[in-house]
Amino acid sequence: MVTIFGVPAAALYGQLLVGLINGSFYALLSLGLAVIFGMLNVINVAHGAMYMLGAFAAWFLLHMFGISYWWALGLAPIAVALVGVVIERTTLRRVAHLDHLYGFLLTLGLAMVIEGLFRYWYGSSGQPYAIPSALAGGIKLPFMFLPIYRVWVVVVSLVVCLATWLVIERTHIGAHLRAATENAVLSQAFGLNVPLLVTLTYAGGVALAGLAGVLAAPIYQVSPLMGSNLIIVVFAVVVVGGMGSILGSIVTGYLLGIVEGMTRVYYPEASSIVIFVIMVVVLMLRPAGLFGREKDSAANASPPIGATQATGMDDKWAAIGALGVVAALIAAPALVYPVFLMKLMCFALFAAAFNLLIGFVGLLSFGHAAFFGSGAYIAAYAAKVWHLDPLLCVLAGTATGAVLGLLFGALAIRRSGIYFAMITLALAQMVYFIALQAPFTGGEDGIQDVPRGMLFGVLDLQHPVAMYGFVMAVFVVGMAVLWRVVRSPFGQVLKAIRENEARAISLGYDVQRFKLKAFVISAALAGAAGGTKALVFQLASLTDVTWQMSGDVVLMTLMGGIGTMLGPVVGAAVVVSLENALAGLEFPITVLIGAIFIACVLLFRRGIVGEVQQWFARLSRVSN
Amino acid sequence: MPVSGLSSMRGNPAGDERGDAPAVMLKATSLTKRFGGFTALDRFDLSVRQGAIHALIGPNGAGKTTAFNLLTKFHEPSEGHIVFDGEDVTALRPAAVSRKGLVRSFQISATFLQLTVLENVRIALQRRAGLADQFWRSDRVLTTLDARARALLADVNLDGFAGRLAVDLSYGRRRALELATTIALDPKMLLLDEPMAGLGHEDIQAIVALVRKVAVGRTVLMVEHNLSVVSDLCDTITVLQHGKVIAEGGYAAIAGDARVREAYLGTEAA
Amino acid sequence: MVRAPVQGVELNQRPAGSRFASEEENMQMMISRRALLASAGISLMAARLPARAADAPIRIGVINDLSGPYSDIAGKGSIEAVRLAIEDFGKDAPGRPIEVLTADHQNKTDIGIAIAREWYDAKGVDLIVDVANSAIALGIQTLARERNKLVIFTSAASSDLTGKYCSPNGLSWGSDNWSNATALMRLLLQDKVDSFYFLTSDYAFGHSLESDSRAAIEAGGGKTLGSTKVPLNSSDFSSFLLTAQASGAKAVVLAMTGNDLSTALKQATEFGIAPGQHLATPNTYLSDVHALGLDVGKNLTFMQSWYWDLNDKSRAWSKRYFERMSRMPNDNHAALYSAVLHYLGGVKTAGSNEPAAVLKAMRATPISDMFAAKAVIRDDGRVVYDRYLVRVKNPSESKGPWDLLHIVSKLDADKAYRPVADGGCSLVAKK
Repeated sequence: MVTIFGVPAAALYGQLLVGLINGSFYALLSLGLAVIFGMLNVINVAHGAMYMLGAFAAWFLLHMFGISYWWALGLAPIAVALVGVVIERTTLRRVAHLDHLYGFLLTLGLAMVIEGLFRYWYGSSGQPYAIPSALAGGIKLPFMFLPIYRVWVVVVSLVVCLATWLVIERTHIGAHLRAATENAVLSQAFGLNVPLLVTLTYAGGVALAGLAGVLAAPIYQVSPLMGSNLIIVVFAVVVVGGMGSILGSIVTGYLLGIVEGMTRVYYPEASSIVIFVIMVVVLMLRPAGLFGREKDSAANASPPIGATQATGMDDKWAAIGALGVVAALIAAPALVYPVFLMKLMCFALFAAAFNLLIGFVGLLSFGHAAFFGSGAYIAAYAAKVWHLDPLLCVLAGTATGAVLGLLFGALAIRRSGIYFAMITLALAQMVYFIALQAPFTGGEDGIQDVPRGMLFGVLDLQHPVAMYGFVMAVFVVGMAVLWRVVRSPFGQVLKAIRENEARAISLGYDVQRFKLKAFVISAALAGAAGGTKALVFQLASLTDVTWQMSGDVVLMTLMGGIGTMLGPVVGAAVVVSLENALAGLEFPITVLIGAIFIACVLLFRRGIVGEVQQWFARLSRVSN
Repeated sequence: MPVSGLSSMRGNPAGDERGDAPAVMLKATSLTKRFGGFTALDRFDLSVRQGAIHALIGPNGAGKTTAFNLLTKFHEPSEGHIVFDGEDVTALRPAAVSRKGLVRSFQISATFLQLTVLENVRIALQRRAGLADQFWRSDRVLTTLDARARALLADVNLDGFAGRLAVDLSYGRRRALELATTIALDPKMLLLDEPMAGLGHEDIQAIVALVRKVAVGRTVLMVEHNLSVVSDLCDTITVLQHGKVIAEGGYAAIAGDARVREAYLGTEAA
Repeated sequence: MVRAPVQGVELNQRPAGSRFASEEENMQMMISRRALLASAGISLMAARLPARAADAPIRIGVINDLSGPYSDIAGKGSIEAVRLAIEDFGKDAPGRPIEVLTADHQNKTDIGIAIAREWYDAKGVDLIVDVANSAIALGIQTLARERNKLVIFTSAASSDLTGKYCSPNGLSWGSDNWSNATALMRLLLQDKVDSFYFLTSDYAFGHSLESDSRAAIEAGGGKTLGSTKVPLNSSDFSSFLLTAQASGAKAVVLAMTGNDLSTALKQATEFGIAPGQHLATPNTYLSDVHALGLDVGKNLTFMQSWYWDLNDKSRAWSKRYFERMSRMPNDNHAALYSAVLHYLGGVKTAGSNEPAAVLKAMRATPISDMFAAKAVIRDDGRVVYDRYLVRVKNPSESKGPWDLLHIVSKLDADKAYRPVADGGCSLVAKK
């Protein structure tokens, strides 16, 4: 038996072939994403949902109308394209002039709504869809049995990818598209119907995702979750390939599939992480990706996210607000389940920590769950195995957040905007997969039966009043720290950096150092929140480190008001309460939360507290 | 390259007191910048004497902004060296260059819009006062900088606007504010990127007066399109075209230079 | 991303005139209980609650996966099974009002445990049933013991629940991994299938199933060639299947269930794993077979506790279930019905909700219903009864959409489950 590095050649070839097949999906999906980003500057998080819609469309066509797979290959992408047209016309168009991160958040909300609805209608279990008989069966190779359908997938994806690349790079239409997106005004002056081209581009991009969905239907589950499982990996492919590069995403998609296949042979546990490791390495060495050209970020005319707030409330109102919150927290346990309140405080602190970064530094971190969850795991471990004092456990969580923050920050800070968000996401995914594999985290089971312990050796935190007091203390101290950081000389410099980074640099400030410091502080407090949560629920689990948790905290902050002190607290309260109150309904919460997300991005970018502040400001201006 | 001795007309103390040739504050040697196949700046040499008010002019696309960005390290040169006040700064990052005393302004006036005028100046003062890094202290400690900040504002005639948000100022006043924040660092040399851009006639007069005032005891290099301002303010002028220096000297010499006239042919000379 | 969706379905079993626990009384009970806990202070474990008034409602909480990969195994069907039990219990004589709370834990440990905690602490739930996730089950086992409440598992398969993690407050009424795995492995070894490769769902259930199976393989003289851990809810098993194929093992054991199992089997067919290798699926439910279709699922063999077509009683009950669900019940649904029925009987006999008293009554009363002719509650919390080895029919043998299984043989209760002394349960008196 021939072996290559200790593995039988047959096994290797088989996995490479499977890798190539997976790569076909990655390539097709990332192609659509790259087209949309390259042309529209939109990070289409809803791409996974479009893929899912394509698969479901094929399923509908077969089960409702008896229309076969072959027709579905054409009809389903068209259906998805129509959905894309509606989305672009009604929502994306409105945020095109803003910071790209709003587009990112908007499509995230859309993904939640679409997937939530389908989950509601069909459950997560997946619908059956048979392989068409013409493509059934397989070829007996010496090293494996190769299903014909999977060969078909590779062929179709190669053809489509090549065709798309040709159209965009080598034809008139493609040239028009490229012109329209490089300089809309000029193109319009030359008679190009730019809005139409933009709509068509988005529709075309998502149609590619829909096609991938049809291809996937017979072999993977036709399930509402099929997109969200893939989308993060596809992002990574696009970023590695070069965010605007069509060729880059195609090549990287196939390459990644093969690399994953090889990793599965030699080091299976790492196969989920390998793309993220590659992504971080590539972004460090070639920031624009393997094939990308860096877009000119210096002249970004749109106001940075978080800069929409006015200078913030003065000390008097801040004191009133703080007192109000503390009073409410003291009174509330009589009316509301205390564990719920404690959960709320933990998430409020988490959101407030996140807000430091986005509201005051202008950086959207999409991996904050890594700090929160790691803090939870370490605190849980410290309590359960080392039997540390609960305060020390929370501090351990804080320290964990800080250290991870330093690591992440050192790697991510050099970039900004969407690249920063993507790096933090990739790094957080690595933390997720490490948490999944590491023995001490208990994998899917989590660390359970975490003892709350005796505070200072005398106060038993099993006693609900004592625990509540402890959590309140952590919350108040955490918020106070954040307040101080924002209202400090350091905080002033941060504000300046956010307002005009180039000017801050020209005044001699090493802005990277300042951003890194803020990042570490933010991560540390997120770790504190996670550690406290672990003690409250006596559990640390994988949910705490998922990207959905990172998305949660973005939503809370956006809804409450980016850049305000009270905003994240209000946002956390609203989101956690909504999730609790709506839990009794049959209707899925994700849909409602996603809808609120969309509404916030489109209409209430200032968030609740921001709108209130604006209203007061207007009142005082009127009365002056 | 002809150098005209105009410094004595403006009363440059450094040059006069020393009695010998005034020191070179900023020296660029063979600075080159290539973007892919396109060469924006080709072996650019520049010598700015200490105390001079030196202008860099040229038609559009000549490479002035590129030169500026290279000198301040906002872009990396493909080739060449930069020596500032006797020190090779070619490898330094832009913030470090600024800390050495070479501070720039921006073509589109760069102020911190959502901060007040006073806060704008204080930001500039914070770093040297050692009040930038502490995140544990209250920002009330910054009031120790207020006196100095107000003095700077008075210098640029903005003392009445201390409490206003920068975004609420007129463009001309924002330019003045930018100048104030630049001076706050007490730089050895200022690089002004088109300081008159976007200003109306009255504002131009005001800014010209300010520049003249702040140039005392300092060196200035400015990129500028407005040739009447250049003739008014500057003692040395370097002319760029297609990334290369085509002439250097006083205004009269430059205006009479055939190559310069050719370069500007078709452009409206002021 | 979604937190705890708790569905509060109030099912009141109340003929006219009986007392109805109003919202205020609910609140008062909650507050006074909390005050009691607060004053008791030291440890919730020791908090002894006063027995409630004899006509206060009994609350049963059904928690499982309502929307994820296990939603067809237990899911809404479990809720119906519980309702059927409550109806049948109250048929002859009116009794205390019985309320059912339901929730979807989405297979997330923190959500499941948070819901269970809130149910026990604040919502006055006496008994939690079903669970459908071994990791969450382990957590609820601890909670029930700490708070002196009851939990009965019918779809949580980890045999550790009656082994090293056994508890005086928890019963396993449905099948478990030891039972499913051992019988099957023994069967395969008999057929000279003696080398195995595992594809294992990477969490408590999968790990437990794999370790129980491995123990049986070793005991029978077979060999395990290797194992690959597969994430829950995977969509593509092709590379894992290839690895299993390349191992050369005579049997590939799919230590997974629900959707993962169906998908893996479909893809195994695609990649031609069988007949070159035997596919072993220890933990299979009727709903899985139905989702697979007989073309893919034919001839699979596994253990079942019960089948809708077993006898007249089972058929009659299943008909009632079918009318509500439009699906036939799994064996765990029937087990759940039996468990709740018996629990309610125990409460009535004991005259209180207090777990120890109820359990005593339950153990004292013989269990004989449509689910099992005879079942016994052991010291370790394991409920034992006869089980059946089944084979999935060929398409030609099946006469209806749910005519899917053929009963091969019966395994007596004492052989079907792990011997009580072998589990390492501390409650079992050492002889």
